[in-house]
Formats: sequence, C-alpha cells, structure tokens
Amino acid sequence: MFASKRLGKELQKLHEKLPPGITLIQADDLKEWLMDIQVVDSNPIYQNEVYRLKFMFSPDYPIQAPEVVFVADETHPIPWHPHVYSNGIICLDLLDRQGWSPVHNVESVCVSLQSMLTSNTKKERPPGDENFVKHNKQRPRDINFVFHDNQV
Amino acid sequence: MASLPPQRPAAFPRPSPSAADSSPAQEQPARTSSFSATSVDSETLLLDSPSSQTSHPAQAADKAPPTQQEEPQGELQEDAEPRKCWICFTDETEDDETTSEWRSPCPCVLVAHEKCLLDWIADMEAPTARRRAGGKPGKILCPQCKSEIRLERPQSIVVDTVRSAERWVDSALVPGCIFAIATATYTTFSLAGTHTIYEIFGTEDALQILRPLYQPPNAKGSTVALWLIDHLRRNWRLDLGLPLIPFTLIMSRTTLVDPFLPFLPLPFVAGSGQAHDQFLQFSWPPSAAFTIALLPYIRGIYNGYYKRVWAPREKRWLKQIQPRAGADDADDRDPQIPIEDENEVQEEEGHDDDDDDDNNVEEIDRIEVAFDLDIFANWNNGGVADNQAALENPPVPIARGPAHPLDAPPVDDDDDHEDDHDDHEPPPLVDAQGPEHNHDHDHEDGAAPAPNVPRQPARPRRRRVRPEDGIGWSSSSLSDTIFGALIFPSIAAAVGEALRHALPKSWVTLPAYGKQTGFLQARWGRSILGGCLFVGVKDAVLLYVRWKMAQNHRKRTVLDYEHSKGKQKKGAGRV
Repeated sequence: MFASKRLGKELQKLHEKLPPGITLIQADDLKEWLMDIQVVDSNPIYQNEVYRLKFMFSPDYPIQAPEVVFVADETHPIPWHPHVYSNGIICLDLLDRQGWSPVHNVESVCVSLQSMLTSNTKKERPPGDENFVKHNKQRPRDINFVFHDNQV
Repeated sequence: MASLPPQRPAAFPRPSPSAADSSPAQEQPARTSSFSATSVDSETLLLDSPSSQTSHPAQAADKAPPTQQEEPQGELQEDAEPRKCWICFTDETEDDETTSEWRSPCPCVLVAHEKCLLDWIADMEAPTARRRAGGKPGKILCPQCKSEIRLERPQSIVVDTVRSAERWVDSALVPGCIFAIATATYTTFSLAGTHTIYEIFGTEDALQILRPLYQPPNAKGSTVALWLIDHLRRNWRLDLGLPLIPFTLIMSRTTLVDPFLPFLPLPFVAGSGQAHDQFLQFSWPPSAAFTIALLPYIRGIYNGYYKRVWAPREKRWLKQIQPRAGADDADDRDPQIPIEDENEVQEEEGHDDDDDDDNNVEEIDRIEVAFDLDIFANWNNGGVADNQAALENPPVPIARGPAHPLDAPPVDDDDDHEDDHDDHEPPPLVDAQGPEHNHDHDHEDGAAPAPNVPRQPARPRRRRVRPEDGIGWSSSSLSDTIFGALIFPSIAAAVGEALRHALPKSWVTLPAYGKQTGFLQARWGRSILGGCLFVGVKDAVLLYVRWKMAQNHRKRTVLDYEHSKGKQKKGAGRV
C-alpha cells in the first residue's frame, strides 16, 4: 500500500518527463522496473552504450532502499566502473541501508548512477571482482559494502 | 503550513497543521479563535515582540499581526504548490481522514506526514541499522538539510533504565571476559606458586613465608579501599611474587625473558627478611632468598656452558644418525673445507631428509639454523680440548642474557661448585671416546635410513628450549614446556627428599639448637640442590643416549641372509 502509492506517484512523474539519457523501459507492476541510462556527455568509456538498470522494490519501498543492479543482455553491457561488479551489482552508498533515505527516488537514483559513470575515468572493475562474482550468493541489499571512496 | 517561519523551534509540535488540513477558509477562523490559548505563543513570540510573550497585555497586540501575516502566506503556498510528503510523495490534495498530520521537523522545505516520518525513523532506529552504523544510537537527520529531527517520546523510567542497563552490559562484556580470564589466571598462578613454595620449603617454612596470607584481615581499615591498600602495602610481595613463580618457571625454560630473569627475584629478596631474619643472612650457609636470587645466574652459566660445549656435539650426534649422515662426515676431518660448502652440504641433506621421515623435519630446521655451532663443533673435533675450545672459538651466538659475561671464561669452574657435580661426570665419559670414535667409524656409515631412530632425538630435544628452537614451536612442545616447568618444583623436592635419606644424617638435620650450619640442613636447600642435580643428570643421561645412539648407528651391520638362516634353501633370499 505504502509502496504502491508512492511508486504510482513516481511512475506518473516518470511518464511526464525524464532527464536526458534516462528512459523508462518497463514498469508493469510495482515490484520490478527496468530503466535504461546513457551517459550523455562524451566519456569515451561509455560512448554509444546503453545500460539497463533493474529496480526491485520491497513493500516498504520508500523507507527501504530499492535493489538496483545493472542487467546485461545482447544490447546492454555492464558498464566499466570501479564500483560496479561485472555481475551488475553496484556499490553506491545511496543504495545501501545507511545511505538511502526516502528523499531518493527512481529518477534520482538513475541520475546519480548516470553522473557516477560520467565522472569516471578508470575502465576497471572493483578489486576482487572475479572472486566476488564467483562466490557471492547474497542479495545486493544484504552485502556490507565499505564505502571508502567518496570521490567517484 | 509549510512556509511558516523557519526559525520556529522544531521541538514544538505545531498546533496549526491539523486545522490546516481541510481548507484555508476554515483554517483561519479556527486559528484566530484559538489564539488566546497558550499553544500559539511560540508563533507570536517569533513574529513580533519576543519580550511580551509571557505577559497578559501582549495578547491584544498579538492577535492582529499573526492573522495578517499568515493569510497571505497560506494562500501563496496553496497557489504555488501543495505540500508534498517527501516520503510517500502524496500531496496535500490527496489527504483524507486517514491521513496523518503534516510535520515540518526541520528548517528546510521538506514536509511529511507524521506517520511516514515515524515509519522512517523506526527504520533508522531499528537495531540492525543502528548496529551497522557503528553502535551509535544516532540522531535522526533530515536527509536534505542534515539538521536533527527531534521527537518527543513518552518517557518511562523503567524502560530507560533497562535499556541503558542493556547497553552497559553489552559494552561491559569484553572487559568482563578479560577480567574474568585475568583473575582466573592470576588465581591459578598464585596457587601454583603457593604449591611450589610448599614443595621447596616444606610445610613449616612455607607457612612462615605465607603467614601474612593466613592472617585474619586487619579490622583497622574501616573501608574496603583502605583495607585493600593496607593489604597491598603489607603483602605485595606475596601478591605479586606467588603468581610470578610459575611464570618464571615457565619462562626459564625458554629464552624469551633471559635479559630480565636475573633481576626478577631482586625486589622480592631485597628487604624481604624483616620478618624472617634467617632468610637474609649473607653468610654460609646462604639464605634462601639469596640462593634463589642466584638461581637465574646459575642457570645462565649452565646454559651457556651447555651451549658451548655440549650442544654442538649433541647436534653432530643427531646428525649422524640421520640417513646418509656419512656424506659430509668426510668433510669433518678436513679443516680446509670452506664453510660455505659445509652449509650447502647440510642444507642439501636437510632437504633430502624431508621426504624420508616427518619426524626429521623439526630436527632439520634446527640443524640449519645452528650452522655456525655445527661448524665450530667440527673444528673442535680436531682434538682441541673442550674448555679451550670455549675460549678459542669465535663468539658463538649464545648466552643472550646478562649471564654472558659471567659464563665466558670460567665455564667449567663455575659449574663445578655452583651447579651440579653430576654435570661433570658425563663429560670425561664422552670425551674419552666420543671424538676419536667418531673419526674411526665415519666410513662405515652407509646410506641406509634408520627408520626408528629419528623418533628418539625429536623427543629429548624439547626438554630445553634453546634459542635456535624458537622456530619449531609446536603445541606439543609448548605444553611440554609448561607442564615440565610446573612439575619441576615437585621433582626438585622429591630429589631433595631422596638426598635427605641418602646423605649422612649430620648433613641434613638441623642442629638441636642454634642456626643451621649447612646448606642442606634446610629443606629448601635440599630441594634446590635436588633440582639442579636433576637437570644435570637428565642432561647427562640424554647426552649419553644421544652419543650412544650415534655410536650404535655406526656399528650397525646388515645381516646376511645366508649367515643367519644358512640352513634354509639358498638363493631364495631377498638379500
């Protein structure tokens, strides 16, 4: 009820107007949405690529952070970024329990991720990516990320 | 209203929002009618005259300005945008009866339903979230302006007390555990120390030493603290010294505290004789305190002597019984062989042995670490007498403690009268045969592995942990060291008792009157001598065993099948 009301509001707004580079792909239900983001300026790492984000909302949505991951398919790669694992899991403080607050929303998350990519200059994965991708069974929200880097 | 003056103190719940929910038209009358009520005074205070807030006359003046002020503001707000809850994103226009009141808890423009805020705050304060945040109970901050959002909560003394008690217990857990473990260790060590004192000194003297502990507490000190201080002042030697006894015993089997060991007994010896004069007499027989304070030095001397004279030989004997030990024995005779070569040979040998037998591994470590000693031993083989060798050799890495200066030149002499006479019985025994025989039989050493032999050297090696053994600390050798150290006083006492029975009566019994005239007349003297004897004899026996094993190893022969079982059919043998 709580989540659906708020998501309804957000969806309504998303249909009206979206910032450049952000597209709503699918929002059939109030549990899982797909968004596409693109880096608008000319960062060579992300040129001409479109990335697909999957949002998963819990029933306590605005109180609890949504789970946001990049999903890969034929046309949508996982972007290179020192905070994005190759399985699409994103290490971003505002998606973590502590960093999240209900002021954020789908659109603001998209914009944050977009700017996170835009400002990145390193075409690399987080340290320990291979191991993490191989062994991680946790859902993104249960992972305890340590946010040591506030620059990116 | 959302736009009310931002400097309004956040702590006051607002009276207006409930009324403002429905419509601005209704709101106004409701507000004005309630104006004389006390609930409004926060607004009036801010809007115009702060000083007049409390007094009666101010009321009349208050009435007008607020109404004027609020009306345009309210309309302006309504026109611009309806209030929108930053949590559920619904705005004012969607409010119905079930919607909770609007709150603006911070200076910035964020407003929200009270219910939404409370949900959010509950999530922020949930135990898991707080724990992740680092245990800080945490302020609730507005996500936008980061100012604190304050709540008025019903206070309950019981709840508060219990919760703070819980927090306190939580934080006291680790220190509590440490304290418990420390106390347990202290008590155990004290008990072990007391036991040691009884063993060494016998019941009577021990009771005298420990008497302060058995005295009833002095009633003079009225408070606990005073009593404690008084107790510490009078008994600190026992309080500190008793637990130190097992510690010292254990440490004296290692080389960890060698630099400090000789000084450890001093504070307990100095001036400890006030109560028991006879323990502090600096004459013959020496007092118990003096003797015990001397023990670390004796130990240092003995260890230094052992390391210089016997450890190299021991190592050589051990090496000889290892598979293919003959390989570098040939080098032994040739003093010209450069040292590097020697090392290499030994290293190679070590690696080979690794595969052969697990038991060898520790042994090999030791050999590799103790290269220099080994090499000096080989020089020594060239016929130089033992104690001369000790002088001649370049400084060997031994005797790290303050014992070093003491033990250097007069190695043998010191040991003779200080430590144990036994120690010198084996030397001639081995000296007579050892080196010479080594050379005679070097060739006979085959490459034949000796399956059982390596097991034996591994055992006695632990009995005394020397510096080079530091690398090979296994749990079993650790427990060996500790238990050996703790049981040592009992062994010493037992040997002391045996001495009492073995030695002439006049040596071991106190004169009927007057003070003791001989070192062995008191039990502690016999115990200490017994301990020293035990160490000396044990080392001697082990050295003999080591040497004998090396001898026997060389004399082994493989029996021919034909000779032993000649009557059985020939040719079928596996030989």
